[in-house]
Amino acid sequence: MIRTYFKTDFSKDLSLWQIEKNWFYSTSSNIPGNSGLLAYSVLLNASTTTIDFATVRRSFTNLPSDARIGFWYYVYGPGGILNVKANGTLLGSISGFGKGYVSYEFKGGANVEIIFEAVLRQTQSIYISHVTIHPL
Amino acid sequence: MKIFRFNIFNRFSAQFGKVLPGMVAVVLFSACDKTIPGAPTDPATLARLKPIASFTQSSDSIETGQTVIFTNTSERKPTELIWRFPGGTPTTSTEQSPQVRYNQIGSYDVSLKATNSFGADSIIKKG
Repeated sequence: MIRTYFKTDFSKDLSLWQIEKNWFYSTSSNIPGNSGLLAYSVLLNASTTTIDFATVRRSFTNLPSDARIGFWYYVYGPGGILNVKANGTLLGSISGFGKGYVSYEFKGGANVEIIFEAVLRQTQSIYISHVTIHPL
Repeated sequence: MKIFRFNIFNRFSAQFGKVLPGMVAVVLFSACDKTIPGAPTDPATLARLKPIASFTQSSDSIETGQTVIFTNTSERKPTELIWRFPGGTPTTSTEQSPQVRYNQIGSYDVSLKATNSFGADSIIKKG
């Protein structure tokens, strides 16, 4: 038996993700386990006071029926929210200051779009890195 | 073989004194191995049995796009190997140590059929 998993390397596969607004590659060392490399961040202009959304998404084919997505995150700013969705279904939300590793189970299938959605206001940063998808 | 005879001779001599011409030493060995009672152990018999299929792999978990090396460890000298790697590339092989790439996330079966002139045995590791 062999188990295979997906793992991002944003320094190499950034072009495979569809970016909407302000997500870009960073070498921030704010994410635990990141060792200062491979972070990916979203930043909002400090002067913006309205709520803004920024997403980064990627479609996966032939995922196992039951899967788990995991990643490291860092949310800077009291009002920041990071939503994680699979085909539009919310898997989980992270809000406010914090950093760490989370994982969520989700239903796979032939075509699954994974979306990281940052909800931001004022001066905030949200980082993600080391996104992995494993079969359960 | 000469060393073995020398040791036996010395041991016999130490216990019973001088060994004279014409004396015959009978040495009995007790079997104390870990084989199944009644199972054949002599090489001649084992050589006339079907294989026992087995294999090892270089990793149990890999990133998509990477490869795993499977190695045949079957006993009793199989003369033919048939590997099956559903979901991998290649999907089949007859090599001793095939290298297989997996491009999709998942859990995959691996099977090996080992054959010699006395029969065949198969093993499957379920994904």
